[in-house]
Order: sequence, then C-alpha cells, then structure tokens
Amino acid sequence: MWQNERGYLLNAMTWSSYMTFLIFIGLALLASIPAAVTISDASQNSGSTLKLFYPFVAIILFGIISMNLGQMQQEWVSQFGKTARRYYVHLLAQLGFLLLLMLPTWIVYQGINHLPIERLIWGFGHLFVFGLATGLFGLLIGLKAQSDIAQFNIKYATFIAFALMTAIWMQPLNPLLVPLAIFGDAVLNQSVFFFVQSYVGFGILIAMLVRWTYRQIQSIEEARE
Amino acid sequence: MKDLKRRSLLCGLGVGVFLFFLLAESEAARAQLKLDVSFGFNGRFLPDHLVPVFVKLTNQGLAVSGQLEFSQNVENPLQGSFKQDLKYKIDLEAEAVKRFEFQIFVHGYIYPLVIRFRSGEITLAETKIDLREMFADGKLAISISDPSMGKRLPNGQAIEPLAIEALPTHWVAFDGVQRIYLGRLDTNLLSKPQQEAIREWVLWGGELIVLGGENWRVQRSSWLADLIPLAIEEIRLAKLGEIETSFAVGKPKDETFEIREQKDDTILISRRPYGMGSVVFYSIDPLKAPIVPLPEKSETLAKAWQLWETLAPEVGKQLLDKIHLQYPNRGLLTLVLGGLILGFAFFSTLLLKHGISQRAYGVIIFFIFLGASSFLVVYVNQPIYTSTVQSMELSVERRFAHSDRSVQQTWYSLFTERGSLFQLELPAAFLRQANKQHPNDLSLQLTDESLKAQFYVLAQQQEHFVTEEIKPARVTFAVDRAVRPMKVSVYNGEETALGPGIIRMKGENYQIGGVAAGERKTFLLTTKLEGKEITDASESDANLFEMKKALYSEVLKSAQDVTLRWAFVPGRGWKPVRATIPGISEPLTEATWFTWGKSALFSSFPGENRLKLKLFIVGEARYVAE
Repeated sequence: MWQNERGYLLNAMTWSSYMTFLIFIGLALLASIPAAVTISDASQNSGSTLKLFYPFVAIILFGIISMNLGQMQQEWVSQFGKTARRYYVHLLAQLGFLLLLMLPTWIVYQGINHLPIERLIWGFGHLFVFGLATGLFGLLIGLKAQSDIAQFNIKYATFIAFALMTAIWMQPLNPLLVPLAIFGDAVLNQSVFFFVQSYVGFGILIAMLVRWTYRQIQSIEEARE
Repeated sequence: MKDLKRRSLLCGLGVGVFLFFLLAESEAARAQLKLDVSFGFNGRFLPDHLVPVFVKLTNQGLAVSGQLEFSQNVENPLQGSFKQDLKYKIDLEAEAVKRFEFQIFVHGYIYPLVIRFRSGEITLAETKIDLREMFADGKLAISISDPSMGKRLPNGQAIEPLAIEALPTHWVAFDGVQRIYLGRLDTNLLSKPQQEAIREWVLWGGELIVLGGENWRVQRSSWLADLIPLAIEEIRLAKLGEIETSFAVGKPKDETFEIREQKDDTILISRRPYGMGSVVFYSIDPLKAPIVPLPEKSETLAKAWQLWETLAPEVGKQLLDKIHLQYPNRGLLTLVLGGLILGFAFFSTLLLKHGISQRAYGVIIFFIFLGASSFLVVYVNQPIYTSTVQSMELSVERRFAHSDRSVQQTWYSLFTERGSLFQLELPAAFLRQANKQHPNDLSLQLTDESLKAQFYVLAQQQEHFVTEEIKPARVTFAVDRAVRPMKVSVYNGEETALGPGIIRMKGENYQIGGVAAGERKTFLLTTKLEGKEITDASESDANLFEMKKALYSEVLKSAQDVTLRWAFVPGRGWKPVRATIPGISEPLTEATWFTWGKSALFSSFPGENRLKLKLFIVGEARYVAE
C-alpha cells in the first residue's frame, strides 16, 4: 500500500528535502552566531553581515522547499487523494511541519539578534504566508507542466525573477525584504502602509493561485472520472 | 418646503460665520501676549555652554495655557543636523505679567535661538535671537557692583557689569562664567536663590573675588561672611606706602586659609578653597588703592576643567566601547542543533522503515522539536541575550570637608542593537544636560518635576549624556585621631549600600568594610594596605570591574599605574579580582574615603541592560551626627 510506503508528512520523497533543509539552515545558523564582542567592535559593524547569513539561507531554502512540496502534491494526491481540499490540507500540513523544523533555529536567531518574541511570532506568521504562496505556486506548476525539466526551469526561473524584480518594484512582496524588515528594525506604526501592501499583495497572489490550482485540480478530477 | 430648506441653510451659514468670528476674536484676544527676552549676561554668552535666559511674558488678553519653546536648528556637517527643543508648560492668568528664568544649552553661535509661546498649534508670540554678535570666545568675567565697575578693569581684563536683577538664581547658569567680581554692593539685596547660586557655582569650580576694604561696610551679610576666608573684625584706616586706605582686618577662619599677599603683618589678599572653586578676599579695595594686583589668571578654574574633562562623553565612550556583548553559546547551540538533526535522521529513518503504523516515531520527532524549541526559548530569552539596549550609568560624587554639599557628575551612555525611540527622564534637579554627541531630533521637555529628553537612536549606535548637580552630602565620615588605633565613624545616608572602601590619610591607606543604606558604623583603622595600593576591587562582573579600573584611572589620574590581577574561578574561568592603583594624589582633605556604590538616576527602558556604578570620593566631615 502507498500509505505504508510513504507517510503523510514524511516519506521517501520529502525526507531528503527536510534533511537537506535542516542541515543547511543549521550550518547557516552556526555561521551566523557571533562571538562575544565589545560594543566598539559591534559599532564598527563587524559581524553584522554574517548575522544576515542565516535569514538569507533560511528564507530562500524555505521558499524553494515549499515550492517543491507544492510540486510534489500532484504525485502524492494522485495516488490516494481525491478532492481539492486534500491537496490544500496536505500542503498546509507540510508547511506547518517545515516551520516546526525551522522553529529551533529561528529561536536561536531571535536570541542572537535581541529580538522581542513578538517579532518572532510575527515573522513566523509572515513566513507561513510566504511559504503558502510559493507552495501553491509549486502546486500549480506540478499540475500544469508535464515534463520534469519544464517544471524545474519554470519553478526556479520564476522564483529568481520574482525575488530580483520585487527587490526593485513591488518591494512589499519581496521574499527577503519583508522578513528582514520584521526581524530587523521595522517600526510597525511607521511602516503600516508597507506591511498592508505586503499582506494585500500576498492575499491577492494566494487567492489567484488558489483559484488557478483549484480549477486545475477540478479539471484533472473531471478528466479522471 | 424648499423655502424652509433654504432658510435652514442660511441660518446654519449665519451661525457658522458668527462662530468663526467669535473664535477668531477669541484667538485675537488670546494673542495679545508680549514676550520680552533677556539673554545671557547683558547679551553676552559662551557658545556650547548653558546660558541664562530671562523671559518676561505680559498677557494683555484672556487667561491662556501653553508652552514656552526654545528651539535651535543645527545644521553642521561635523555634528550632523538636529533640532533642540526645550519646552516649558506655562499657565498665564488674564492681564498677568510673569518673569521666568531658564538655562539653555546653546549650540555654537551660528544658528539662531527661537523663543516662542504656543497655545496648542497657535504661536502667540515669537522672538528670534541672533547669536552671532554677542558671543564670547572664552569664559566670562562678570562684576556686581553699585556703582558699576565698568567694562574693563585697570589691568585690561574685560568684565561684564551686571545688575542684581540680571543675576541668575541657579548655579548652572554660570556655566560660561570664569570669575565673579563682587564690588561695592549690599549683598543682602541679593535674593536667597541668587546667593545660593553663587555659592554652589563656587563649589563647582567658580572663583569669587571679593573686593573688600571700605566696601565691606556695605557688602557684609551672613552669606558673604560665611564664604570669605577671614572673619572680619574691623575696618581700619591705615597707610600703605604713600596711600592711606581702609583695611578690612580679620582672622583666618580655618586651616584651608591661604595668604596670597601680606605686608607688615597685614593680610592684603587671602584665599580659601571652597569645593572645587575658591573665594579670594581683598582686604583693601584694589580699584581705589592699586597697591595690590588684581588676579590675572584663574587657577581653580583649570582644576575644575580638569574634572569636567575626566567625565566628558569621550571617556564614557571609551568605557562603553569596552563592554562585551554576550551571545548564546555557540558550542551549546551546535550540540543542540546537531542532536536535533541526528534525532530527526534516526527517528525519521525508523518511521520510513516501519511505515505509517509506527506513528510513535512521528510523535517523537514532533516532541523532540517542540522540546528543543522550548529549551531554546528559555535559554536565548535570558535578559543578557535579549537586551536590546546596553548602557552604563557612572557617577562620581565628591563631598568636600568644609561643605555639607557634594558635587556629582553622572554620565550615561547607551548602545542599541535595534533602532528605537528613547525617552529619558531626569529629576528636576538635573538641570544641566550636556551632550557632545547630539542625538537625532533631540527634544527636551521640562516640567516642574522632571526633565524629559526624547530622541531616536539608530541600530548599532551610541549616545552619551552628562549631567552635573550639586546635592546634599549624604555620605559622611570623621576620624577620631585621639585614640589608638584610630577610629572612623561613617554614615551612609544614600539609598544604596556602599562596598568596602579605603580611608586615605596622610599618604596611608586603610581598608574599611561596606556600609548598608542608612547605616552608621564605626571601624578601627587597623588594616593598613601595603605600599601605595588603594583598593581591593573584588568584582565578579568583568564589565563592572573594567569600569572601576577606568574610573580610578580617569578620575584620579593614574592611568599608567593601574594594574590588574586575575584569578581562576572554577566554572567561570579567569576573572579580574583585584586592581592595584598606586600613586593617588587627591588631597581634598586630610582624610578621604573612597568607596563604591550603585545607583540609577535616569529612567530605564524595556529590554535595557544597564551597568550602574558610582564612585564616592568623600572628604572628612568635622563630625558625624550620632
């Protein structure tokens, strides 16, 4: 039985992704932990760029793995899932599990950056939204593109183009700028518009992706019946 | 129906117009406010110092509440651009005339000082002071005399003659003043606050020159008699060389007395150190009988400047720079993260091997991550790691033997990991607030109870503040030299405990124990420290230890002589345990007590990790009350 071969969250396909994710973000985090420094050294910004290494790696990897998980839904659900709801619930569960795997490292990041715990919770909420958008995008690619090569090319080309373009235009949607603002010095009451733009933007993006994926799943189901 | 609508509209419009004119009229009535400003000492002032400003508000209209604002916009490529705002809340009754006195820190002389009275958003009166014309390039000498002593002394020294009403009532207003000449003037005419302001300014390092002689008949008051070095007995007419003049003849009051000029057993000039400053008394009036020279150069001032320099923000910066920022232990975190990855690998492999039936493995993985997260939350959320603001507050309080007051300088430096808006609150007594590294958009608000400073600090930036105050001396001691071994009575009237300290007496150092807050104690001076060693500064906190060492070095000027001893503390590694600081030369009195206390004067912020330290340098009191 398929269920015996592959778990709901952990299976032979996802295991390597999770493992790679854990090892890379763990290494990135260890590289980001500064040694005890004097304020003089800290004032001269030594080590501050290193501190950014972890969030950079974690956010990018999280986006990529969320996309991969989305992409894998097609294969997983096609074997025992029937309804669109199961696609989404499974994707959400996997994203939740990914966040759980990240949680210890983000907690350490909170400590080394003197972040209030509220910022950590807010940042996690944002990462979930971001992961959902990339996961749905991965799901859409998995549903639409037939060949693996096409899926790979579209997935990474779009991700890189999106990250680069939103660094210049539509910055509230940028995968790195918004989380770094949350984990950095963003003052909420002075940047309300920025964050409203971000969440409205992500809301629209997710709504569109849900609509497209839903249609696609429906048509697949109809074709199957 | 249409007519009714039109009528209502017209009525509404009419009421609106009436209300508009009524409000405008009311504003006009309120706006009948006159603002007269008297700046500095007859307009003269020293840039980058506190300057007295007298403001007279004449309200010819209705009662009004508002705030008086002093504003200076500085646009300096070196200092950066910033705005200083000092706000003072004021209520003015109808037809009232009120006079207020302020001390304003003036930044340079290029940028005008704007003074305005605002009620809400409406400016009712405004005046702008062009600072470019009347600034001085050195500390001022002022004179108080009736008749006036003119603008220049016979020796060519420029002075600023002041009327009694132009004398400030708080000592910090004399920040830019080097010397005060007191000529023929009935000092009883000075108000009590004016007298105390001069006394405290002298205590802080000012120099009061009393031109006595015949003038003493007019000058004398209990206040002045207490200040001058001689107890005047009589005014005698005597001939000195070719000149016959009046002498104020008296006896020296205490051991601090010093004769500067003497002729035929007649003291012509006497001097008495008072706090960090001094009072010089001329037994004859040198302006009428120019047989004794007027003082040329202030020595006490140089001393006072030395003290100021020791506590300048640059020193605060050096100390702050040395504070270590603590981060979570990399080794421990490596262990936890490595364990997590291995645990995940192990249990997930088992799970994959046994399939979904082995849900227990999944649950284990879930709980491993939750457990590790819980541990890490507790570990990294220790205040030492999560504090976003690292700061230090260091004070040096000096109490002089012949005064019941002490001078205190406090510096406060902060470094923030994250950009934040700060609001510092000081007790109202802290009227001097000098900052050399100006924060962005510094805004000061002065109320009757406190001074609030608001400013924004960018991430990874430092800010420094220095305050000075004169306060009642609450830490006293007296040595009983008649008994052997000598006995010392100490009293700690502070709210904080004092650590073990040193009594330094005639080149010898004796160690005494700590004193709790509000406690009186007696120690026998038996534990003599070897050689010139001054302190045994046992301190487990390396940062505080570093500060103690630096404070001794800076304040006591023996930087080269400071040595440290380290000891291995099991479980904590090498820690500094002892500082040896020889060569202290601080002859404040015959006996001086050096001791450490902790105190916090500034308001604190959430997430602030503040190191607090206070060095007491206490001159011996004549007695310690039982």
